[in-house]
This record gives sequence, structure tokens and C-alpha cells, in this order.
Amino acid sequence: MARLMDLFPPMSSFGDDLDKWVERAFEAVPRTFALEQGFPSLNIFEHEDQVKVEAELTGVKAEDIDVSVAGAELTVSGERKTVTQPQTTWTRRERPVGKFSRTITLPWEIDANNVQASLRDGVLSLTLTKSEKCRAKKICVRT
Amino acid sequence: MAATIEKQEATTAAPEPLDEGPRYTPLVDIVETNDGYTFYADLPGVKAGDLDITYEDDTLTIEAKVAPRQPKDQQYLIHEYGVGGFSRSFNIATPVNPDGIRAELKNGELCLFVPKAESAKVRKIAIKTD
Repeated sequence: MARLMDLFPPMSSFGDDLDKWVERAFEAVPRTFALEQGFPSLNIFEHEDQVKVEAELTGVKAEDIDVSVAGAELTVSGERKTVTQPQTTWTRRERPVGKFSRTITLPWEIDANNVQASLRDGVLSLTLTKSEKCRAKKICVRT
Repeated sequence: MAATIEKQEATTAAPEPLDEGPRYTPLVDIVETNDGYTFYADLPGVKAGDLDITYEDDTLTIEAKVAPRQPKDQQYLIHEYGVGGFSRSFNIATPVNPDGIRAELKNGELCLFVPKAESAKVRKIAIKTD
């Protein structure tokens, strides 16, 4: 079955410049797309016995962020406060404000006593540790 | 003669390579007052040294580089956003005072003040009564 792309001549045949231009145009992705899943957007990945979570929370103070862990459930909540006075004239307003909360069920139970959180340049980084029973155990094979 | 041309070519500054990886359009709030415009932009992961703000031909441009935080081949359980540079331009029709532009980056949030030129400010006219 021919793929859709095969039906069209490759963009490079129109010239490398156009090709690059098109590439760049698609690279500039509006951040609003990412907000459809809720605020904040999360990136979660596994690293051995740890689970790392990253969230972009610009302009939010550390004391306004709550992180809680219950079993395999992780909740990141808090409030992003508005920076201006009520009578402000907005020419453009795109950034979400107000209370936010996201709960994610992870594939492993998390050790609630072993959670590290840091906030740097508006990026919240969490390092969670899988609970003892969920960790991979190496089995020695006797010969 | 050929040698001179060769030398000229060699001294021409090579175009600066654009930073690798994707670029994103940052979310921006703009507040207008009689004194000027205040831009608030979300630039997560950006350090002050990696931020470029320029004003030229009535266009204000915000550009920022962000180093990847994870290796390229990182596998994710949940992957809702990409990490990359930011770029956005605004055309400001109102005459502004470019020398008075101030910028502050705190916790990934850029606060940029662009003052209006004196000629663009609203003046209240006092009306005399007898």
C-alpha cells in the first residue's frame, strides 16, 4: 500500500530553501496545543528504580505548588497567580492563570517518603522512587 | 587579485548556525497602560544569558535558546510537551522609546516593558472655566 507521502514529489525537489522554510514553519509549534491535556503539561519517564516527572510552571512560586503521592497516584496542584491589578487593559492574554491540578496514575507504586522536587527557571522536576515491591529484582541463577 | 578575493571571502563572518531542535511560540500576555506596553512571556527553562530581545523597524523580537534536558532517544511514559527554543515577534504600531525597554527574567517568566514615545501618550487637556 502506497503511503500518502509517496503520492507527492518530495519537497526537496522544489529547492532546499523552500524545504528548510517549510520545516521551520512547522517547527514553531504554538504552546497552546500542549495545554489541551490540562495545565501543567507533563513529561514522565522511567530511569532504573526512579520515575522522573517534569512540568513547566513558569512564574509559579515554589510555595504555591503542592505535590502529593498516594500509592501509584501522583498529584501536582497549585495556583498560578495573575500578575496584574483588576482594572488592567489586556491587549493580549494567552497564559493560563488560576488554580490547577493534575493527577496521574503511574504503573508503579511510589515510595512517598522518597520524593525530591526542585523548581528551576520555571521547570518543576520531581524524582520519585518506586516502592520496594515494585522494583526489579535481579535473580541469581545457580549452576 | 584572486588572492585578495580569497582573503575577503575568508574574513566574511560565517552565518551563525540556528540552534538545533524545534522552536516554540511562547504564550504571551500584553498589558497596555498610558506609559507603555508590558509583555509577560512564558519561557520555561530559559536562562538570562540565552535570551535575546531586539527591537528593530517597529518589530520586537523575543528569541531564546533552551538546551535539551534529556537525551534525544529518551523514552517517555507521558510526553506532553517538547523542549526547545522559543521565538516570537510583535509589530508595534505605536511609536515607542526603544532606549527605555527593560526586561527581567525570573523563574522562567519574562517581564518586558516597552515605553511609549512621548508623542504617543494620551494627554488630558485641562478645560478652563470662568
